[in-house]
Amino acid sequence: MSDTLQILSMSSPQHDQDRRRAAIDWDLLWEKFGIATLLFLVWIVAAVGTPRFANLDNLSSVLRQSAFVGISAVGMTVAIIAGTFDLSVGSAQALSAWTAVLVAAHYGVVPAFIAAVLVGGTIGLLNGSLVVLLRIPAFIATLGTMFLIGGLTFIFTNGQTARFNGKDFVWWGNGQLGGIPVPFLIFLLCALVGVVVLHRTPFGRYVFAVGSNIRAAHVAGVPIGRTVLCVFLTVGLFTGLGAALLGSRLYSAGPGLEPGFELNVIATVVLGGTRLAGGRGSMLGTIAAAILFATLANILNLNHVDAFVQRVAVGLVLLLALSVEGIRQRLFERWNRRKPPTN
Amino acid sequence: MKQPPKLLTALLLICALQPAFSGHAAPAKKKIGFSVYDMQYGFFQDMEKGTKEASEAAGYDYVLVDQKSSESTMVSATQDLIDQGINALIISPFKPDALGPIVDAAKAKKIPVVVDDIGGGGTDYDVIVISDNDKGGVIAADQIAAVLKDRPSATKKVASISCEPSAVYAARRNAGFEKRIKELGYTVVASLSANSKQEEGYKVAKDILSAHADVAAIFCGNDPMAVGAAQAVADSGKSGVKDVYVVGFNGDEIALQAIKAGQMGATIQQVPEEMGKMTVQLATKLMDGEKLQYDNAEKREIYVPVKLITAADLGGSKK
Repeated sequence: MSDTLQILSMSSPQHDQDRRRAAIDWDLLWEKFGIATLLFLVWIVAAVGTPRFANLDNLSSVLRQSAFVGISAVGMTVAIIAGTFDLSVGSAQALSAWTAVLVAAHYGVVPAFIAAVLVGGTIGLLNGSLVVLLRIPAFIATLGTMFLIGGLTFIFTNGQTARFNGKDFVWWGNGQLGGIPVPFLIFLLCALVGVVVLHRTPFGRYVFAVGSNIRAAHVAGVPIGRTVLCVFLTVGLFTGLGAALLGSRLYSAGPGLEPGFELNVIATVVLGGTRLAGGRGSMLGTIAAAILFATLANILNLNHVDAFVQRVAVGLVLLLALSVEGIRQRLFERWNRRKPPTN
Repeated sequence: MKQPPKLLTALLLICALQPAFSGHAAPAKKKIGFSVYDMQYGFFQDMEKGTKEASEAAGYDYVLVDQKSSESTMVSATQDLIDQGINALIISPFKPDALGPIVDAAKAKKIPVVVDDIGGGGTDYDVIVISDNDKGGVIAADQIAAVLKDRPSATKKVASISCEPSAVYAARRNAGFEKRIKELGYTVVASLSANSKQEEGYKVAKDILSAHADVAAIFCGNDPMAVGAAQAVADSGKSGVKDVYVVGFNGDEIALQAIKAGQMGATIQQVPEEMGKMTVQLATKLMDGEKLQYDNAEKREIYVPVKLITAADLGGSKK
């Protein structure tokens, strides 16, 4: 059992050494599958309790919706494992999506996606440079670029929304492939890329090392500056791709596309079991959490929950998402204390 | 064996999702879906009230979703409405430009789409309901003429301040005003834009007052600009009611207060509640397959009347 888990594990080797002592490691089990199990339970409850939830159109809408936050959350998972995060993804999303729609209207679909990913990547490099070269803390640096890029988007767009409804462009955000929404398929593909990068590349090893203990990583010869720069680049690239899909979904994009997007992305990653302190994380959890948030919004709408109550409900889930790690640790401490000591 | 964290978290989340248990039985009644711009604003609360009351009075099931001032939520929440089998969609879009996927999804299920205010985004909607902006301008002109007739000292000079040129519906207010006031024998000495903003309304009005000190009335395409203009009038030592009669448009709270306090003359109030009721009537006709009588057939527009508000309507002293 624990060997299987070892393969799926995304935590640092040192941590896994400690963990191996328990016969069944509930903490690790939770980290890997907890949120996916929860999602499964919520879907069952919703299917029983809410008419029209378990209908193909509706489920398809939920999965489609999960992708727009989810794709950016794949990049953010890498960032948070590396012990940092990026508040500028909302602004990057608006500028990339607007670029995508504009380029799609004039030059076609492929250039549109390339342009959006390039814009996202450039913003990522800017963030990374501020953090690495100017040594500005990520919170301040990305808060700054959030306002900077947000403002620039208003200037570039002149406050206007770009619009394009070409069939081959809007298919990416609205179409289906084998009954499954295209954006969701791309989301899964992105998550797979994320897993491979984290576990099969030196960069992935560096990310875990930097997030677990930056001094130890430095002593061990991990190129910290380059790693952090690439982490922000990764966030930007995924955000750019997700933004192009959202522009396609909406047939349009403009400044102020989705207020609070950055917090939704970070909350998704944390609810998915990735630790804000860095060093440990789960891409499967991120996928499940993105679907869970989309499900929540959908269930609230299907049950005609008042808009103001919806804000409260979403707030409660965000709080829960951010406190779940603390609750988990406290409960484990208590539980472990009660157990008789093992050799 | 205990496994507290997983169970506890699951329970907490299920509690948060409690409404999921209170499912509604599927009735045979027709269902109207309304996707509202943002329930944080009074204008849309009133619009929602009218829509809800008219839907329930007509015996429909009524379902509401809130776009919460987000383009992305506008599309996803409205998609939730369409997925749950509504028979007609009413929408006051946060961003008309993002109406494309919504109208396409509704049309694919043969659901009629009634747009309530804001704009149609160049899509294939069935009808758009907007305030009768042109008529509002005419009412403002008539009111100004009626007030000035009793003032022997007043000149025949008036000014017109408009919203930003891209606000096409608001532009009709000033067009209607200027046409009517000229018919009544007045001269429009200045017709300028103040971009819908209070501080620009103030500046533009100042310029007008220094170029034409004897201007007798100012009409503004919205209330913030009118409040700004009234301030400029007050700064020049005159009254926004007795000397230079200032009229706004919307019925915003700041304007109602200024009218009550005797700082400006009147405003043309939009009636969102009536707009909401109108959308339900139109949805009914569309569901029954009736043809609509448009006020502007080319753009599929239907107008809702606006009304004049003076101090007398607000319990203050008149003029």
